[in-house]
Amino acid sequence: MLRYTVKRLLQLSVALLGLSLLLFAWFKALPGGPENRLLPENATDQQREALRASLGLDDPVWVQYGEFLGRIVRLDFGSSLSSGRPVATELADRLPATIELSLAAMLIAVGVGIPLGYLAAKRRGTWLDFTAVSGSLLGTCIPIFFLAAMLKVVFAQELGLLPTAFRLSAGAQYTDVTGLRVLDGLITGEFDVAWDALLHLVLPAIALASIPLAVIVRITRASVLDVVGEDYVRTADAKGLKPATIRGRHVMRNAMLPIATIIGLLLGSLFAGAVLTESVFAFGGIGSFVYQATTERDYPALMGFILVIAVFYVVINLIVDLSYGFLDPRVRVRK
Amino acid sequence: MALLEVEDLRVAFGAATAVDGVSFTVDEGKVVGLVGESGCGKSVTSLAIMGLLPKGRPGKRRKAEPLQVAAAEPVGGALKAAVPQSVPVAGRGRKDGGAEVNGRAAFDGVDLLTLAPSAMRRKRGRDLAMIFQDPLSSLNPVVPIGRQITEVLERHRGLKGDKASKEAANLLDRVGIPDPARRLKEYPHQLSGGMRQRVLIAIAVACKPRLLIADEPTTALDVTIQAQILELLKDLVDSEGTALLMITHDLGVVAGLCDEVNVLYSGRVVESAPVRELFARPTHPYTVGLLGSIPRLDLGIHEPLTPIRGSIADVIRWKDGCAFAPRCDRVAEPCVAGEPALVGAVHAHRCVMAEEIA
Repeated sequence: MLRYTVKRLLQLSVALLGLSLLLFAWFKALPGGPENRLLPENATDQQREALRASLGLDDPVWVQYGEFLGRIVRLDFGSSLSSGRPVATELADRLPATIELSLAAMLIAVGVGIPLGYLAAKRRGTWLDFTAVSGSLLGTCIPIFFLAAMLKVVFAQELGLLPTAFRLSAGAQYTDVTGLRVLDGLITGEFDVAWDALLHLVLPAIALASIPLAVIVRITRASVLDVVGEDYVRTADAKGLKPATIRGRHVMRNAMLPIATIIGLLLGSLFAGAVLTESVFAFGGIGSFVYQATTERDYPALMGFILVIAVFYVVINLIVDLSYGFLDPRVRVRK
Repeated sequence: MALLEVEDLRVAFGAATAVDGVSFTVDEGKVVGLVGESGCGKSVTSLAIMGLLPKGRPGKRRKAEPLQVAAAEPVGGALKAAVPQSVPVAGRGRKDGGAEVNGRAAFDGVDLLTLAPSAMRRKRGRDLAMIFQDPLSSLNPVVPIGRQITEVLERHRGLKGDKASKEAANLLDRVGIPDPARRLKEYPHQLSGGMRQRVLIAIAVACKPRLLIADEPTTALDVTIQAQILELLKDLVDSEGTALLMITHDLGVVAGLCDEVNVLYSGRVVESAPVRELFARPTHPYTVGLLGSIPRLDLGIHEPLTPIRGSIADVIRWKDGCAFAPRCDRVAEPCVAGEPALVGAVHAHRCVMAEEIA
């Protein structure tokens, strides 16, 4: 297992290195270098040269790339062009909200999706199966911003059951520990804060969960249908095992393999969906920041965002790979 | 009283009949063979006894897919390994349409076919156990084999933790797997085919069942391993006094292992006799054909084998006469005049022409 982990870690660093190269190339390819932004239009060529030299832009490309890498490693993405604050600080302020939202959405998708998919497979051809399958089709079809807006209108504005926006009610006092408000409330014992944060989380999390939920239902259903026909499930049955044992140890353990892969991929794509959901519910996560950065061509901010997302993606993939090794002993053996 | 008494067992999948009135008995401590080519209903019979056939949804039964029946396989000899065995229904197709099982399968006087599912689950693995054909696909790939053995011990013998592991190691030792303590932690893909089949046997005998059903236990194995596995089965049956229902298409296996034989054709028993009697005086033309298609060492190497021509029909039709008639060399008028009955007691056959042939 250690060998397997090390191997995966090495692959991961190669992937990140590749990404840094891409980003560097992107920056080099951007029209009009930084000297045009920093110098007045009537600056002389001499002045331009001097500035380029002082910025290190006349160094060989590989030296520039080395410096670029060094800055990334130190989490120095430069300052945001719109706010003037360091990009790293901006991201650190907003990331916890996005993480909290994504985790909540994933919790819903996994917690509802896997049991529902299992039931749909077991009751294949019944109304439950039909509802689950057509419901999941609907879930993948509805654009996330539309669903988010509809949820907000119906449950928050019309019925008034849940808050319409933000992460906490106005004027709420809370202690920041991890930045995940529900978790913080539980840690510090401020249960009213945790509850308040949870209420604010419900609608955006449901909106964000719609696509992963639908995908997980379908994958689980297909995977379970595949596995229940396997000979080893019949063997388990021939042993006279209790249905719960057969379900857990023999059916789900095998059915989880494709589901785990999908969950990993979905987690990555959740961040994209979070951008839309957050803007509908003014959730104050990374979403609105990126939206602003894109419209204002705030390149350092975008670069920081891309890198952070890439690291997340790669780390999630690592976790999925490792869980695969945990779930499937055949992956563990060295080739 | 016989340990297992199967009476007029009928299994249908929608419109397709797989087993059409099979009756036979297995006495305590005896080895009984169920012989026939693919599609004759022998596997379905065993699954019906074990209660492992897919249940039809009561009330709202959907139309089942017709039973897929594989082409006839050469019986006995070296060719058989090359022919993939297909157990109809029990495979992936079983999500659709359930089986309709009728008749009686009395185990120790209790009809297994009418037993409640939970009561049947308590019997399965404890009183009657089954060994399957393909040892790789029959073991869970993601669970260590030790766990796959201890779960039976836990369920039926109440053994847990170290006690269960110890007993599992004993069982592996019993079925001839060296270094059992280490093997317990391994996964099926780390074992050889023969070892996997030994593991399946260990699982089956874990609770000292009174009846063991072996469904082609050697089909997926090399010839040398086959002999070892058969030897092991024989040894286990002899020492524990377990009754064994041996399902096979290999008459060599029958000759070496069984006390009694039932030859199945197209969902019915066509001949049943003690093993020596059957080999000495095969009566039904199908049995004669099966014996004729085995390669023999005492014949010259240029002597051709005598295959049974044609292949088993995919529709069972005994009503209008003998189902074997289209493939039979000795077919005559009376053969297609009506349903042939099973006649005789110790050595029974289902051939109206038997007297003339003899």
